[in-house]
Amino acid sequence: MNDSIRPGVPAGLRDMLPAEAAQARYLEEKIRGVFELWGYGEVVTPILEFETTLAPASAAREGQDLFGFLDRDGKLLALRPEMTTAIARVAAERLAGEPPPHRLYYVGDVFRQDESQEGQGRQFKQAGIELIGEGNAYADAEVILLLCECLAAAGLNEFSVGVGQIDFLRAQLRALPISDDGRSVLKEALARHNRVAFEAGLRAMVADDDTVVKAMASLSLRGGADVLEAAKELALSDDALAAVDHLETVFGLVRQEGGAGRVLVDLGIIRRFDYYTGVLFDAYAAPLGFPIGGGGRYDNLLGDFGRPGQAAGFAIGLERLHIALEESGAAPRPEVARYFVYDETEPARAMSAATLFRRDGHSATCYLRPISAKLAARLAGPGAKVVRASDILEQE
Amino acid sequence: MSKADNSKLKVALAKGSLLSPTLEVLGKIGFDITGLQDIGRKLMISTSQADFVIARASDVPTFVEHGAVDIGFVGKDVLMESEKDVFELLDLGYGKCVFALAEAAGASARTAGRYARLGHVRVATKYPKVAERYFTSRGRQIEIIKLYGSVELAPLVGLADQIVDLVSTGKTLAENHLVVVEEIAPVSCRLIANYVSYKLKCSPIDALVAELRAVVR
Repeated sequence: MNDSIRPGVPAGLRDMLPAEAAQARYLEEKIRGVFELWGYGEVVTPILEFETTLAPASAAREGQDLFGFLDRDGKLLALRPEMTTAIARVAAERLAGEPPPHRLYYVGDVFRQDESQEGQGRQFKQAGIELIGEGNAYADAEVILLLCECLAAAGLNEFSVGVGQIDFLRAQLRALPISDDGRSVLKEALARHNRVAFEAGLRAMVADDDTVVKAMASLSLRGGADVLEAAKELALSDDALAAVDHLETVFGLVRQEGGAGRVLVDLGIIRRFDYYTGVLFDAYAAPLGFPIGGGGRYDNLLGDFGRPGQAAGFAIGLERLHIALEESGAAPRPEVARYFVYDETEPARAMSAATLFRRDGHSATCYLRPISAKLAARLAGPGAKVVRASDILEQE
Repeated sequence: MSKADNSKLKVALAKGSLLSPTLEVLGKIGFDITGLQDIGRKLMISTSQADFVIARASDVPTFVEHGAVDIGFVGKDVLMESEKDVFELLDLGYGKCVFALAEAAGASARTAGRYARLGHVRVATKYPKVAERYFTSRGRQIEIIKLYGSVELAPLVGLADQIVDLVSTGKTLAENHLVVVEEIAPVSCRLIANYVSYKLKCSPIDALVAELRAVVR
């Protein structure tokens, strides 16, 4: 056996065997069901796109994470690192003649060269939606409520969705008496989650201590709805105040539909992508140190494809959701009653008996020899039943 | 460790020179650190106020990034080299030193000549990512020689032209006839937090930051 080939798979990629695949598909179906219930239609886009299509988003993500290559015509192609850009392309190119809004969903694999993280290898599956052509608080609330609904439907009992508003921090930064270069330095520190560099830069550029304290405190605004009141106190401009008011309206709508217990205010959320324009949110499940999903409003993305338009959406990392469910003991165990049919004397009878079970809509497999109940349970869970064909056929 | 316990923080402390000043500030803000003073071979210590994990410094950012602990106390040097995605919340002010580019005294002409004729210089370091970022930002190409021990040796034996290393007093450099060419970045102990913990355990973390801020200033 020494010269057998065992190539394995490239780092960050892996196989899924039946037990996991069945659960993963079950989760996926649950989430698809919610999307359909809310009137969203599925879009399937190619795994490969022109690199220039994907570049606006990926360049902002430091550019190193695309899997790219040349095709025979010398065109630069890339594997999609996320789905939103492709959906924006579809909306701009394919749905341009249709009356908005468009409610679209997707379930698909995405690919990144980044170092793998928990539940996020170099290939991982995302399920998400985009609500295109609506730019109001109702649309924002719908997207947030739909995310909550998906996580609940998947069986996750404890999760939180932190909701922020990028316009608030942008307005706060704009209100500071500093140069555009200085603002870029501060934005970069925020994107890196580096509060130390942010504060050092701020103190070096802004002399007024009250402004510094307010700007610093703005970053830590997270918690219940009372945080919105604190945010109003800290607002450095009317724009910042308007951003908080908008978030308050969204929260009111979310609360009205019963999402209050699951949603937190988090005005410190920030993303590297410049195309985000309004609400921003992340979903957390306490056992996992990484968000299991997130999204926001990105009214600046569609313009990249020549058709400016409003849009909001989210993506859920299905593998991370699966891990969170498993860790909290709430992982779905899709119950399949499967019959293991054997006949040690006349194997053909096992085939006939299995056919009968299948006609009735039960899953059945044939064995030439008796199979232990223990093995059957290992293969198909506690719902497995072992049946001797002759016993069944004689009863008929 | 119960994951449902929302109030008690899980804290990673870096072994080594930062451990005792970190315990000192934790003591100052009211943490019971008696069990932490002499830990022996123990790796985890639970108190009524927090669960402590004592880890190798270079592992602390990894523990925090994955959410195995909520927060960590670790040097900026380790943080810069690890490139992990964590919240850097506070500069604690102790463990001060500096990342510096150094070379043998009087070697600058030779290094410049080498760069002009060969297009790169050889730089020995324990911090290849820090060195690479620094030189890339300067538009200079280098060959990095990763070492694990006394980096000061490299220029003395002709293994490298320059070194990137941590300098605190400058004594080791001086004893080996090395001089600082440029200071790259100041280093000190930092408080870091996991992304999700920072959101979900906001009250204990904000309280801790406020208390630490008061004693380290």
